[in-house]
Amino acid sequence: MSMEIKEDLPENRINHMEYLPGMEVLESEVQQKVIERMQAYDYNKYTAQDVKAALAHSECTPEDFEALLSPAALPFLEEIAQKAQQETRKHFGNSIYMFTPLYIANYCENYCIYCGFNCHNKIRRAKLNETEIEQEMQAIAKTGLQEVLLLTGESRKMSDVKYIGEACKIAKKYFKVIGLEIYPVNSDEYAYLHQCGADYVTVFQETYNSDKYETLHRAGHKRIFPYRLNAQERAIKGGMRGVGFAALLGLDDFRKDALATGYHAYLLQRKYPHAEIAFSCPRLRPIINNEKINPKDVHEPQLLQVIMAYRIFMPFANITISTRECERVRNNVIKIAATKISAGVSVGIGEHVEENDNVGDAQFEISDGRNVEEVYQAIRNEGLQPVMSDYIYV
Amino acid sequence: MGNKIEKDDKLIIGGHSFDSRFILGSGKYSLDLIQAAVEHAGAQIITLALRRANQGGMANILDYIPEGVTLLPNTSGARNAEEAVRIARLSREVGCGDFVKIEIMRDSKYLLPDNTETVKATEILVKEGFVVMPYMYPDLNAARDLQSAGAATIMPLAAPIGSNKGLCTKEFIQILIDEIDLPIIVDAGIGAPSQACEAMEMGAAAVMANTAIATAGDIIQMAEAFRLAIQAGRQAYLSGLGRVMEKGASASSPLTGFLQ
Amino acid sequence: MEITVNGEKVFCEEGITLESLIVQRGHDKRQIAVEWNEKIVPKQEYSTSVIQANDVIEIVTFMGGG
Repeated sequence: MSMEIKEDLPENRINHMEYLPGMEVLESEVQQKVIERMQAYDYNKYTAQDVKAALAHSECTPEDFEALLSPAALPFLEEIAQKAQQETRKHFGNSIYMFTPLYIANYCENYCIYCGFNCHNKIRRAKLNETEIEQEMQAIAKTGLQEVLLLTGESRKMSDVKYIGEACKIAKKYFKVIGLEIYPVNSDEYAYLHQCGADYVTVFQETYNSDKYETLHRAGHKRIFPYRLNAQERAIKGGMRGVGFAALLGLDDFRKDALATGYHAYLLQRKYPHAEIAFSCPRLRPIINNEKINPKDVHEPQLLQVIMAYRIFMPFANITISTRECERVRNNVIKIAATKISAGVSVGIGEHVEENDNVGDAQFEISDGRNVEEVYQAIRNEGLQPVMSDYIYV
Repeated sequence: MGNKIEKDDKLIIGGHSFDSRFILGSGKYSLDLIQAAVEHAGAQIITLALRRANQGGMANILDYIPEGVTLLPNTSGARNAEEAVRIARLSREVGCGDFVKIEIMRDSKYLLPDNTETVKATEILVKEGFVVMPYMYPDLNAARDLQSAGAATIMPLAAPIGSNKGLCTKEFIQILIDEIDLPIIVDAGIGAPSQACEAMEMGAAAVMANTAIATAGDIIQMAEAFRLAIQAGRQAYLSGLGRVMEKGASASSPLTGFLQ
Repeated sequence: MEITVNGEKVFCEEGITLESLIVQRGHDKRQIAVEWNEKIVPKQEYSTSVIQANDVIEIVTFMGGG
């Protein structure tokens, strides 16, 4: 780490609740409702009785969701798993969707103290040019995958909207489904990226506790908490077909963050019933050059509890299980609640093509390095059906 | 978190607060029975229809409705949005408040409501300051349109008007209750107190009934039976139904045994 | 002169106001609404509304309905 970073002193940081020039402000009640509910959530008041009641209900209410996320639910993980599995099969049958992430750049303007890409971290930076992007995509397409998730570090300067749009246009030649995990943009920019071929936008809020958020995201546009929180709504307004939500579990109180994530998705689904909803469930993993952060209390049972609560609360939502988790966990979670799994994953830059010299370091260490064929077979072995795409871009 | 019965469990419609969750229709009665029916039903809202006034000082229904009861004129007879708007405006001009129940039927055999026209009429009347309570066929998309048009409640039908067939559309009404952030008032087709009770247990905000009471052997007793059934259903809903697990916990952990 | 009230042709004296017509027909004005040539008339304007020949008037009130 650098010896002296200006923003390590709180008085040198900008106001994280105030929009920067050029950031679109939505007149929306969603953020306030999410924060209020999260602040009011007292998970210790729930009892075994509340958990059983939540499992008995045919429709899972926000109160039921709160009970399922509470410590009182931990002794009932098997019962919850049975219900989660029923709901998953009801809505998805035996389908498990496969995709791979493609990091096209890792430049980042933000100083987020837990992230390997942060601007003060001394890593190899890279940005693929159009030819290199195409080569990477050709290599991925050869594996049989039809869905790709494009990622950049969060640098508008180095990876502007035009650049990402060009990447989408190239991706359209090789894939049926294109998702984006990029810095948040305005709704007209989402509309442009949709035109270029992207259909899904995932934004990780990391934590919904703005006080904690402020201490972790010390500089850069990512520091602006409300602009990030409202990204999904702007994406829907821009015409994106679906939006993904996630908190990085373990950054703060994971029960409150999971509640906020689910409720955020719930409110947007009610406001925009046509939008497709997805969840990712990352928890903190070790990263390069940083030993300080400890994943605290999100052990496997708690992680599974959160994933299953998302499933029962929003049974129609896609849930992605991260490569931050190991093969054993991933193989089992797709049996219960997850419907989407990545394969052949590289989280560095330019690693799909061996002769490429323009490479950049990875964002985090992955725990499941299986290639597409291996994951495909693992899905089959569980009696499930791997699906590359069942979707038509419109 | 206990589910206590709320002491002040009010039905809020367009900013007005009601203790009773039974909306009584006033059709098919002899006028002298209306007052007793309202009282034994405990109803605070009663629906009325607008018609041409007969010549010559005949008895008027308004003289038989107890004071303090909120009048809810309907737009029955309207076949499209335009006619419903006209009837609503005339009803308000009589001078009994801003409530209106939109009812638009293009079908004289089943009397099923026309959701498309109902959305149009709701948009217009909300802008004119009415408290709009649309009667509708329980369709989620139409209900969402009504909500965004500014409706105060949604009134899905349980079965064709006057059929006394009960909750034929149960699954679809449940979807509206789960998805729409407005009071859902089950209207039409409720033929027996047990059906009204069931609607309330599902989470309906209120029940409207007319024919079942007006055609009962003893109107007063039936009005009271409905009142009690609606109260019972509401109380059951607030107490939290179905708190029994369908299956007991299994001894082994087939799905979660992998956890470390 | 001839006018139409609630769809029926009726005869009435020249210069009659809406107010008088309503009283003649035995209505309590607190219980009715009036449409005069397709326009709703506020109650306070009944006494100043002078009816002309061939006018079309609707007088409505409430009755039982579900």
